[in-house]
Amino acid sequence: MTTTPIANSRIICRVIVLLLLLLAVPPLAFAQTRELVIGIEPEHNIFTQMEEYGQLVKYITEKSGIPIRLTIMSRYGEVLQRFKAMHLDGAFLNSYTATLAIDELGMAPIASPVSLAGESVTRGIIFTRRDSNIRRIAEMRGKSIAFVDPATTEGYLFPLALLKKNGITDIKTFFSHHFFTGSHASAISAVLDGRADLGVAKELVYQRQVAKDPSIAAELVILEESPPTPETTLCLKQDLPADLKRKLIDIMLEMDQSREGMAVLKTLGLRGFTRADKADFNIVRQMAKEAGLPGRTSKRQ
Amino acid sequence: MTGIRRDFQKILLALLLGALLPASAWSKTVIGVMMPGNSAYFQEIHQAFLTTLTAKSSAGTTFEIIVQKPFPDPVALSNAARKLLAADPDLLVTYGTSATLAVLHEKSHAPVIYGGVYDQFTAQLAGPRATGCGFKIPLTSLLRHLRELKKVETLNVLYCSLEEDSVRQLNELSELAKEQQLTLNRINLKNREDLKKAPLAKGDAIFLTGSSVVAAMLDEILALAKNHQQPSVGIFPDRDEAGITIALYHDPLAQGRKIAEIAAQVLSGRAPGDIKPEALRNTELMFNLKEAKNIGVKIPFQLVAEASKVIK
Repeated sequence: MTTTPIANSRIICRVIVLLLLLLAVPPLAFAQTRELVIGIEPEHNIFTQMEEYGQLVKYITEKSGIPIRLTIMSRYGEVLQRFKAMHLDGAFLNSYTATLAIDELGMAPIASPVSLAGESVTRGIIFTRRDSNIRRIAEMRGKSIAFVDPATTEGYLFPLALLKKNGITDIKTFFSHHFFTGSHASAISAVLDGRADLGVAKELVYQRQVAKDPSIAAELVILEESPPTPETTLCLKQDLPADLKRKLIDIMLEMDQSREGMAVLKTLGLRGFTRADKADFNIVRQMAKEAGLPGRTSKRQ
Repeated sequence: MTGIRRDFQKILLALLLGALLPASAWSKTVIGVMMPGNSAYFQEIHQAFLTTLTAKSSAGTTFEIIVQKPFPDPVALSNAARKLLAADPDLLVTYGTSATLAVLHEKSHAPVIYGGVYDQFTAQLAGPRATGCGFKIPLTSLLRHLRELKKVETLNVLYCSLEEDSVRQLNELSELAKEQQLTLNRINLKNREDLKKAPLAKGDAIFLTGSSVVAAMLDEILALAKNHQQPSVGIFPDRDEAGITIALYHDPLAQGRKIAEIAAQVLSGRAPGDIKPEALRNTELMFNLKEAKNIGVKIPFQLVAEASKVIK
């Protein structure tokens, strides 16, 4: 078989058109080659967190072909500034910063973890040393308390809302002193050490600490518990391509269906991931209202 | 005759002025203080006590402070208590359980305010004549922090059997050791000879109980700890940065202020038995990174972040 010069030029034209089409790539193709930068909040040991999340993003990268870089944020709430000031594409956020990110930055909640017990929610707890003789809210007066961070649901918003409900409007005068530990694990440690009479933390972190060292459960007593609030949620920038977000969701939701995915979930101590929705955060909006934190209710619902 | 009248007028005037002056201008408040072993921790409490009490007292009030610093053996403590009572004090201030018990053992009506007592409710010191404040350190936390530095299977516990507080801490550690599969190497230090003979090599780390005798030998103990490459933990602050690796302690200044508040109430007429003894709980955590490096252990960054004080 021979080819004419006309046929050759047609082939060349087709190749050029194909190349032009490839150059005018859809956003997905761009996103797949560009590195995504995902933030992590300092929930407990940051090195352990980096290791755990590192395995998760490695798995997602392998499945999607999208390179992902993790960056740890020095404190909770920093995400809001980082999204505005830096090239952050998404973050694993606690329910309070997730709510702020959704409502103020228009970010999209993507997926939340499901615990081995089958829950995708957590709770805030207020605890004290068992030998402290503090058992009721009234007995907390004049004591010291360790909060986690002003930008956490379980570590600040929940106790603030609870105290307000009980007629305590000024924590500065109610407690002898209060301070922020920066992480849930540190708030637990502060009470164990006796550096604070009371502490607040996320129940999941407390359970993790107890699993590591069962003597903690014998030393502490939980006084109050919040309603269920969403677990740490992966939120992504609204302007990321829709098919990229869908791809990430699909990979995360299907993790429990593959052997490699199950291995990663095992190291994370999770059963899987579930689809997150803006409405999941209504409880947090309600708490913010009760706590009297103005200007932080939904703008975009 | 005129001269006699003038003298009489002067005496009358002096008597009238005297009657108008407050009682405090006439009387001096005598406070007897018992501080066993000249402990730095007790000294800090005492300084804060004096400063606060002076600030709380009305102008013109004068205090005579008589301090006894006996070695904490029963005979020395008893002699010191008798010497203090011989001065007929208005108030007795004692530091630690042994000193408090020694004073309470003597027949006297002088009210007793105690401070620096470890786990005072177990010590059962409060009564019609005595009240005060004590502290409690979660020893489990100290052990937890220590184990983040090094695997500890045998713990050298340095205590003094003459001091009740130190023995109470040893007993508490013994209970914890049972729960945590930890072996204790109990080292009773009553003098420097005991330290020379101490089998420190048997242990993996050193626990310094709150004893004035142990505190008096701190430099020698820490030199031995360095030789054996063992981290040390204690429940008193290491103010002079002698080299304790981890200290979890109650602020002595807060205790001093508290006993001054109680003393002011007692001096104004309130019975000690009517004042509830207080347990102070808020602690401070100190890490000595320099010393940790010297003995070849690394304090995890996450743990350092918890500290109230870090020595670099």
